[in-house]
Order: sequence, then C-alpha cells, then structure tokens
Amino acid sequence: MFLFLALLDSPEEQEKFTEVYQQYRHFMWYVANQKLQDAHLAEDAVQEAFLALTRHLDQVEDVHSPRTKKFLATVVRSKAVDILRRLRQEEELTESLSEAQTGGDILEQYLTKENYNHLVSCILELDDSYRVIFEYKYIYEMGDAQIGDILGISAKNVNVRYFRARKKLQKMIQKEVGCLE
Amino acid sequence: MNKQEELLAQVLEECLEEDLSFVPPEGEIARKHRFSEDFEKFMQELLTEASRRSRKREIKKHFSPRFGQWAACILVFCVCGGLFYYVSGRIGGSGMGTKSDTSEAPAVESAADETLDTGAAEGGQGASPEEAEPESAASEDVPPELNSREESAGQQGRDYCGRVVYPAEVQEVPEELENVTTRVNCPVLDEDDPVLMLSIGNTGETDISYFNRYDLEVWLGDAWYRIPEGSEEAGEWLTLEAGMAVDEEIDLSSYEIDHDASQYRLVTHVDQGVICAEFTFEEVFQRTMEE
Repeated sequence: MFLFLALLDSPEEQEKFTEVYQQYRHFMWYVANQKLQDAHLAEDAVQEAFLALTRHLDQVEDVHSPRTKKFLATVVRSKAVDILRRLRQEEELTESLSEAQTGGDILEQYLTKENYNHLVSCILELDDSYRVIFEYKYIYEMGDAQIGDILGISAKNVNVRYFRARKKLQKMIQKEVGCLE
Repeated sequence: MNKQEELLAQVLEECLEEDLSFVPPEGEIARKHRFSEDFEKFMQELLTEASRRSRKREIKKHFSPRFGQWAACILVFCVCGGLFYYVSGRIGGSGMGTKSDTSEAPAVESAADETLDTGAAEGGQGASPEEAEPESAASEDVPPELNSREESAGQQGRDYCGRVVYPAEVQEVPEELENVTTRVNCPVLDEDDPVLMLSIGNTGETDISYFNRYDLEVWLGDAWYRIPEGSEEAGEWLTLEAGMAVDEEIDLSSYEIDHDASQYRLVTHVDQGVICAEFTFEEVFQRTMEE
C-alpha cells in the first residue's frame, strides 16, 4: 500500500498532499457519504481516494482552486461507486468493446447547444459509475491508463465503461428529446 | 477536443458545480462528523510514510550526484598523478634532467623511506598505539626543534650506528643564556655508565620554565646531528624559580651511541630559547689529550 507513496517525489509534493488532506478531508467524506449513506464506508472511500491521489497529485496544481475541489469530488465519488459495486458483489464488466459499441454511436448528434439543458438534466440523472468516467475524460482530460489507475481497472475496461456511458447517455438524451418532440 | 466534446465537458462541469453547491462548508461538516480512530491512524501513517519517503528521496537526490562528483575528482587526481609520475620518470630516465636532479631525487626518497623505517622501528619499541596516543597529544606542547623528525626528512642524512641521522634544526646552540646556564656533572662520560647529571641554573631574578625532555646530538665533523631516542617519553614544561638550579639525571643507555664520535651535546628548551650542554666519552677524551 505504501508503495503508492513512491510517487510523492519532493517535500513540496508531500506538503501539497498534507495540505489537501487538511483542507478537504471532511468535504470528501461528505461527498462519499452522500453516495454511500454510511459514515464508515465513506471514510473508507476517503482513504482510498487519498491513496489514489498520491499517484495523481500532478492533477492538483493549486490546492485552493475550485478545480482541485472538483477533482477530489470526482475521485472520492468514483471510490464510493467502487465500494458500492463491491458491496453488491457486482461482476466486473464482461462485455467486450465491440458489444459496447453495438447499436451505433450517435451521441455527438445530440451534443449541441440547443440540447444543452437536456444534456444537463441527463448528466444529473446519469449513474455515477458512468458519470465519473466522463468527468475524468472531459474535465480533467485524463487518458484511459490514468483513469484505470485511479479506478483500479485496466485501460481496456475504462474504454468499455466509456462506451457504455456514451450509449447510456445517448439513450437518455434520445428519450428526453423524443419525449419533448 | 472537438466542439461537441467541449460542450460535454462544459455540461459535466456545470453539473458537478451544481452537485457541490449543496455541500456545506468544511468546518460545518467537521462539527457534525468526527473521523474514527482507525481512519486517523491510517491517514497519520500515510502522511508520515509520505514524509519519510520524500525526505529519503530528497537526500538521495542531493547526495548521489555529490558522490559522483567526488568519484570524478578522485579519478582526475589519480590520472593526473599517474601522468605526472610517468612524465617525471621518463625525464629522469632519458637523462634530460640535471645531475643534481637525478642524484638528489633518490637520496630524498631514501631519506624519506629511512625516516619512515626509523619511525616504524621506534613505534615498535614504543609499543602499543594506546601508549603512543598521549605522546602525540603531548607533542602539541613540544618545542619545534625537539619534534622535528618529519621536517628533517627533507635534509641530507648521515649514516650513524647503522641508522640515518639528520642534522639538528638549530646548529648554533649556546651553553649559557642571559639568566640560564647548563652544566653536565661530568663532561667526560664513562662508556659503561652513560648516565649524566644535567644542571640547569636560573641566575636571574624571575622564574623561568624549562622543558624536561632532551635531544641528544652528535658532532659528525660537519654538523650536529640529532640521535633518535630509543624510548620516547612525553616531556613537560617545568618551572625553575629565580636563583635556583635543578639537576636532571639523564640515562643515555637507551640511545644507540658511537663512542668514537668526538662530541655530544644535550639540547633542551627554556622559555628564553634553546640551550645545550656538551660532553664527550672518556676514550675520545684521552685520545684527544694524547694528541
């Protein structure tokens, strides 16, 4: 476990890590607890999030910036999702990439300014396990390998989840727009 | 990112902001929730370990290149030394140097070797390093002339009783200073009983100090040469009151002495300078008288 700390290269990074911990540990617990509804499980999620953070501290440029707060929220939410999945004993994705891509990807057609509000309502309703993948990919512009490292899954599985997430979002938007039409 | 992806990123960010807008401030959550001991312990270990690793890495980062620099310096030094040795050897070997160059260099080298040998031999007689330690500590107070073996290594040595002796640092040493005199009780010494009494007299009106370790020097026709001591004892500075004299019994049996040498002297220090007392051996004295 402590091998992860090997990536805290300098005293500056160590200091940054400590500062993040001091400033955001309660916030992170709150976010995790919203999802898990269990104080102890939420603490587990925070621990795992901090362990993951030791390997991705480069994502934190300014400890006090809103971006850092959002990034930590995404990390701890993804850890909470993992804990929930473990509790439900959900099987890891067995679906292949080709299966995930079946049905055609026409999400981009719906990604327009006209559909902005629909998009917002769909994202808010989207399952967190999909949403965090989008957040890592589009807000923090992380690659599949990096995302996989945080989530503890392979880059290939990250890709599978990503296409599943696109499919899910596409369906939701289709439904939302279709209902209105 | 294309336009659609940028739009999706914007939407995701807005949704995230909206979610987080419901999160109370850190202080408020802290008041409502207290982390478990296990959590605190785990995080403390994590932070301590991070700090330790970070320090270790920092030390490694700073010192590793320095070791490299040291190694490079030593390598350069060795290469330069080797080159110098090689070049000087070639110059000496090809006869490019002067006569004195070629003749003196081995003499100096052999002198240095001899000195080392002498030192080693004395060390051997002087026994253990533990015993030698106080001697070196005491040598801080030893007058320079009485502790000048290393300095004399660069000078021309002479063979004396099967060993090399070197000229004394101070050749002109008086037997009398302004307020101090030295005398030996018997300036003609018996070979079988080489013990003499050295009297140091303070004829002045103030106290003086003298060093109670003596150098034995021999006259070898061209200069006074210091005879290495068989057993070296640490000397000390003693006070001699005004108008008083002190007798020091000096046993010369620990010295390798050539009884045919014409003249000897004992040299010591007083606070006003160096002072000596000369003597000779009976046989030499008689021969001189006959002549």
